[in-house]
Amino acid sequence: MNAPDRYERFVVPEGMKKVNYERDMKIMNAATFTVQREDHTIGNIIRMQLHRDPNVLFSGYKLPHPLQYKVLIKIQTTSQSSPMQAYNQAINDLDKELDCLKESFVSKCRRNKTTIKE
Amino acid sequence: MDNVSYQRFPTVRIREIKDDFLKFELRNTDASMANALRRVVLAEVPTIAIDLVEIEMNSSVLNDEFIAHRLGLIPLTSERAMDMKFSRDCDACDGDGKCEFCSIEFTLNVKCTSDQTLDVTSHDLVPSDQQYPVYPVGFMERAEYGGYEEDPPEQRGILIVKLRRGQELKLRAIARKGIGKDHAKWSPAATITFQYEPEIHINEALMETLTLEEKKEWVDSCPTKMFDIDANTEQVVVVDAEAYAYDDEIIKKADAMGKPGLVNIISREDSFIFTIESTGALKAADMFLNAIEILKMKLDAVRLSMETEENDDQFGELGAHMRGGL
Amino acid sequence: MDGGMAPPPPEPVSYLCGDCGADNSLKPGDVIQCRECGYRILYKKRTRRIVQYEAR
Repeated sequence: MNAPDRYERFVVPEGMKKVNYERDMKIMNAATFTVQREDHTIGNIIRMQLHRDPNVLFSGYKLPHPLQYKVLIKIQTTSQSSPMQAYNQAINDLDKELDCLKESFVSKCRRNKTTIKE
Repeated sequence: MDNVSYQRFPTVRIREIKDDFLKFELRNTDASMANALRRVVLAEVPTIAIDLVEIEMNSSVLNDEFIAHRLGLIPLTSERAMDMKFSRDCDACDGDGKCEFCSIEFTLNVKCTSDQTLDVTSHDLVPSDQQYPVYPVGFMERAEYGGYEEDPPEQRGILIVKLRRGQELKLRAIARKGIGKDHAKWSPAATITFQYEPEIHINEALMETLTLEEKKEWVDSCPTKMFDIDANTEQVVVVDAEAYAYDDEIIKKADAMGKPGLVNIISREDSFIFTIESTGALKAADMFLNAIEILKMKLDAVRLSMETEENDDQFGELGAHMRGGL
Repeated sequence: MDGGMAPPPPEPVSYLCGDCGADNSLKPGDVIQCRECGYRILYKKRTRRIVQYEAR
C-alpha cells in the first residue's frame, strides 16, 4: 500500500538533480555528495576507490533508508586537494579500470575463439 | 595539474566458456568492483520480456493474470536490447509504448480440437514481422517439432498452459526492454556468483609428524574433495583448492588430532572466481560485456556537472585557479 | 432540463447452461432455465472486451 513504484529505484524525476553537493559547515575540506536513484553498486565502488587516494582523509557512504533510493557519500580531504577533485578523480580512475577490464576480457575471449559482440 | 592516477589494472583468465556458461578468474581488483559487476549483471543489464498482455479469449483452467504472469517470465532473445530504447523514453510512439521502435508484438492463438491434451508452449508465441528477430529462447516453428511428449527436453518449448478439448487461448503480447531492478523477469542471469580464491599453505614440517593413517584420516575429514595422498610419495597434495567451502572442518580435525596449525587457508583479497549462467536471453560473455558498459554509463551519470563545480564558492575558484585561468 | 432518454431495452444476453453447455438467450423477466435440459443454473459468458494485464 505504501510501497513506492519499482521504477522509482532508477528513474530520476523531472527537475531533480542526479548529484547534489553540500559542503560541510563544521569540518574543513569535507563535503557530502547525495546521488539520487543509486544504491550500493555505485556507493561502494566509489568509496573503495577514494580510499586509494592518499589525499583523502575520510570517505564513507550510506543509504539512509532502504526505501529512499539515494546514496550519501561523505569525503574529507587534506588541504592539498578538495572533495570535488577527489570525487572526479575516483570516477575517472574507475572508468579507466573498467576500460582495462574490458580490453583484457575481450582479448581473452578472442583467444578462446569465442564469438562475442564488439 | 598533476596527472596521478590511482587506478587498478585488472586481469582476466577464462577457465570455461560456453554459450550460456562462463567461468573466469578476475585478478588485481577489489571486492567492491567484483560485487558491483555481479549486481549489475543481475539487475541492470537490459533484456526484452513480455510486459503487456491483451487477452481476447481464455477458457483454460488458469485465469488471465496467471497466464499473463507466466508469459512475462518467458526469456526472449535479447541481443537487440542494448540498442533499443526504454518504452518510457521513446519519442516515436504516442506515449502508449507500443510502437514498432520500442516494443515487439507476439500473438498466441490456440484451440484444442482433439481429445488429446494440447500443451501450449513458448513455441506457440508467434512474433510479428520485425527487422531484428526476437524469439522466445529455443523457438522452433510449429511445423518442425512433434509434440511435447515426443520431443527431447531440450527441444520442448516452455510450457504455458494445457488445454482440453474445446478450450481456447487467444492473446496479444507486447514485449519491452527492461532491467532486473524493475522486475526479475528482465534479469538475464540464471546464476552469477563469485568467490575469493583460497590459498592453502600446508605446514610440511608438522605434516611429516603424521603417519600415513593419520594423513588419510585428515584428508577424509574434509566434506569436499580438496586433498589427496599421492600414491608414490605418500604426501598430502592439494587436488582442488576451490572446493573449499570455508567450513573449517579440516582445521577442527587438525586441532582434534593435536596438530594445530597443520594447514593455513587464507582467501586472497584481490582474486575472484566468477561463474555466470545465462537464461538464454543473452550469451554469458555478452552479459558480462554489457555489464561493464552499463557500469561505465552509471559512473558517467554520477559525475559532477560543471555547474556544480563552479557554483561552489570555496573550491570553484580554487579549481579555476588550478586549471590555470578564468 | 430532462437529462436524457430512458435507456433502450437491453439486448438479449446469451448465457451458458451449467449442465449441457448450450447457449441460452435470455431477456430480462425470462424464467431462468436452460431451454434444452431444464437446468436452472446459467453462467454468464466472458466479456467481449479485450482485457489488458501487466505481465508482472
